[in-house]
Amino acid sequence: MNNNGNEDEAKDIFQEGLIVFWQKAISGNLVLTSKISTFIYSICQNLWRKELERKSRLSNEEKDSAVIEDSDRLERIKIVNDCINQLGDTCRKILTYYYFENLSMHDIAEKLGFANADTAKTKKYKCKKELDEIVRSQYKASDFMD
Amino acid sequence: MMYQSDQIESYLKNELSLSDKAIFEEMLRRDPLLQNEVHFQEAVIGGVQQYRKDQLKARLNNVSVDSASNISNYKVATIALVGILSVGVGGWYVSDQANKTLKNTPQAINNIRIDHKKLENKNISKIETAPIDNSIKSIKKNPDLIQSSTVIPKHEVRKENLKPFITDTDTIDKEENLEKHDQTKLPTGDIAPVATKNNLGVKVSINHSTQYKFHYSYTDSKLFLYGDFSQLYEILDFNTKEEKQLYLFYQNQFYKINENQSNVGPLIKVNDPQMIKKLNEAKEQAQK
Repeated sequence: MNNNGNEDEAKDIFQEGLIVFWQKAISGNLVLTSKISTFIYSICQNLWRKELERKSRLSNEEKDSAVIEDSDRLERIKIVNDCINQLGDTCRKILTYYYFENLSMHDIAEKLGFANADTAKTKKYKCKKELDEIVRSQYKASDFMD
Repeated sequence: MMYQSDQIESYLKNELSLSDKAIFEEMLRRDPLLQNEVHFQEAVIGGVQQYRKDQLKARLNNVSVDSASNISNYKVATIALVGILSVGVGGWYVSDQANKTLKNTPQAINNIRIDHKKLENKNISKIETAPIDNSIKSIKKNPDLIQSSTVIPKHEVRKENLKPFITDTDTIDKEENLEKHDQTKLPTGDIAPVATKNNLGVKVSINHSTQYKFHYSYTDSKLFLYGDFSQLYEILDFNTKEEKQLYLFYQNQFYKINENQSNVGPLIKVNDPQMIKKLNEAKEQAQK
């Protein structure tokens, strides 16, 4: 709040921080050496500091091109977002668990009731392929080139 | 085909070994189709991650009524806590004043002014806590060689809120006052880290003495600094196989702290450029 942040940004940072924390916790990579609140608070501070740096960087150099590149990227991500919604439930879960929560194949198999890690791996490969196809079919290749 | 998509994923996650990564990047440079594929995968994976993030945020938003007030409550609690502390120590100071001579009053007014300045610095100190998270990491990574406590600036800015209340007397009472003051340990609250090892638990007290302009004494894990230490400073615990040594870093200079300095002695600057370089490295390490 002392650095020209507004309440919305604070809320965003807090949510991001919480999500980062949760990502770490659920993937089993977390070693807690202090209170949870302390840890989350530190995460938020780091996020906010990065955001401030990003903001100040933008105002200094090539603001325009940076903004355009960024919004391109966001555009692409939104497109993919829509395609994900077209997947089946299981596929969606496998992919999000794998790419976001970074769960191991073993954990994914357990969570979703597959026979074993290999089964999960194959299923994930198929789901990914399916998603790739959906995205590709809907948009020209040129949308994904830098 | 599966191999290549696996490889692309590993590359994007930065899981390739340095040599594999170099090979892959060379292939990438030569093959525009591969480049397209990699960018494509990057977007898809990024999309999956963003999707999940939004999903989780949506869930968070459903609880938002409480979370917003929690943040401000947290801040209010912290401010209240520090406020109560200041009042508490102020009360101690006032009662203590009754025992001192008139000579000390001008000093006291000076100290109170300093206190206001410190309170303003408190906001800056909150940002300084960012390094603390990293100092937890650095302690895990380099347990043998170098330990530095970047904790202390934060602690000290807080302590400095209270220290000015100590009056400077040239009497023997001085030692007693400092002892007493150390008893009013700062509740570390939610912001202080817990991960510092014990041998960094150096208690630092500052004494705005007129007699000693830039001195120190060190006994029993307690470091007393005499003089005007109104800027941010750091204590570095420099451990190598040959030596273990405390250093004070203040206003861009390093000063050696002898552990056996029970009498008050002057702070001696480190002039050896090699040593200064090592100390700077240690300081950087600890701030990562």
